[in-house]
Amino acid sequence: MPTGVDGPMKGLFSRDGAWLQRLLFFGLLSLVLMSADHRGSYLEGVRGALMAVTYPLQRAAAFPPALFGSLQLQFRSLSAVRAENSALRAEVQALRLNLQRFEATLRENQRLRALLDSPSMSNERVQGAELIGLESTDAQRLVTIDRGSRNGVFRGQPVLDASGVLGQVLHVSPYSATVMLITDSRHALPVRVDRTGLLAVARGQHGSDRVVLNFVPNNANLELGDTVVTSGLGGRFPEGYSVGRIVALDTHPGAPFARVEVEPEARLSSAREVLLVWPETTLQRNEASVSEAAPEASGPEASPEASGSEVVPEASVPEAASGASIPDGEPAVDSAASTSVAGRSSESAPGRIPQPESGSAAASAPESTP
Amino acid sequence: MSVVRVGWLARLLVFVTTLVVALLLSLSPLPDWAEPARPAWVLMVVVYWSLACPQWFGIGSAWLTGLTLDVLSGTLLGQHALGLVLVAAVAGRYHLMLRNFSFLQQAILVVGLVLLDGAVVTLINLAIGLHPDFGRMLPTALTTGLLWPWVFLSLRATRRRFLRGLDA
Repeated sequence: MPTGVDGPMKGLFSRDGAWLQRLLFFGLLSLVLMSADHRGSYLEGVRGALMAVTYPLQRAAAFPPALFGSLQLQFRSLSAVRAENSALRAEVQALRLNLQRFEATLRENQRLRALLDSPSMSNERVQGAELIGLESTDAQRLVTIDRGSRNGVFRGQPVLDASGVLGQVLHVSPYSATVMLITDSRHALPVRVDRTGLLAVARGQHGSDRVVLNFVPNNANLELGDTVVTSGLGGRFPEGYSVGRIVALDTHPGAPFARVEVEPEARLSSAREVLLVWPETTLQRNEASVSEAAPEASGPEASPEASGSEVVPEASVPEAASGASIPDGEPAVDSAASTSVAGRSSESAPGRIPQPESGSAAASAPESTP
Repeated sequence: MSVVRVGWLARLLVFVTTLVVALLLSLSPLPDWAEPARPAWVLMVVVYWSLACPQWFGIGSAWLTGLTLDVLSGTLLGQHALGLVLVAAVAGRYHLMLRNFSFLQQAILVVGLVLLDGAVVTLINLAIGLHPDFGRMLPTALTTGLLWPWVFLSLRATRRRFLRGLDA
């Protein structure tokens, strides 16, 4: 029964008018919303609140697979569990062995850095999170995790899984956060080729599960299978985490740059547990000394504040949690995020550290690090 | 008087429940091979309510639904909202005609609406510097068209079961 929207039917034309008005109103509202969301982060608070409201839905959508997983676990045979247990024990042994070597190397490294008077590498705080959502198209790869600002998650926070870098936090709500994967076509990650020290920027590719190293000269010393790790430039990702392996290398003599494809180490499509990292700022470039970076009196949380002048805002977040921490980190994070959406080099947070910012700048000085 | 009030509540409950189910179906993980062909559940529900109760479910409701979808999938706020606003506008404007369509005709229309929604999202993504691939919409449009009759029938059964006599 075609009654008008508000009350009795007023005739065809007035109904059309109302229809057109509504269409225009909501169409324009969408456009305004989109440009506000795109042009900066005016809407981060709104989005955070909406994400919090819709969190139960997000959670519920992730429930069936989780339930299935736990059922599978319930009905696994005892022998399978035993086999897995022994395999895990063997792995723990091997990892312990590695850890011993690693600790020795770490001490040596700290000693050497102390001698050189260069900034120390400090420990990052790490917390696990669970994947509860996935939005994957050719252009964008986003996942949702079940930790939010309540847990101290902040925009731009690095996210890893057990084998490598996964991405960084894009939106935060109190209970959940959206993570942009490194394979997202808007994401760029400053990296270093482990064997040679060559610096580059790894960008996500449209419709591909690999990342590509931009602006690598044709004569760069690269081999298939070379490991690529984070360089720590840009100040967002801590240094030295595994990113992936070079799987395709095309040095076309006519082209200005080589095409280098890297297969990410992290299980981007199948990860269920991820790790959130709170980097303790290691960037006290000038006056840092090793002793200073060690946690002091008031406990581990206080160490970011205690460790130098150049405290990256977000480093103070972990324990101070809650909504207030987001605006804190905003100036640096925002500009980076907005440039990333515009398709420019996203990783470098301008003004964060006295380092070349953009991808081209970082990469045009190849072979420059240790 | 009381019937009117109850009707309002019942409608709200039924709309929200069906939309929540559709949102859950759109969000829950699928195997990789099925992902490109994920049906546009939310769009189907929006189309149905715009056809069946245009005086209660209109452009504004579609906008809210789209916004929820945007928030849940972490995409640009307003992108799905705009797509669904257009879809609801078309379906609501021509509901009298569309109600008399056969299943086949309706399914074709729904395919067209999926493509309309896809075109909007594609254009928006182009505008913000992504490189969307409109061709990826085709499997989704196809599965949505194939599922439409069943979705239509179950939503109609829902409406008749819960909203009968509430002038919906």
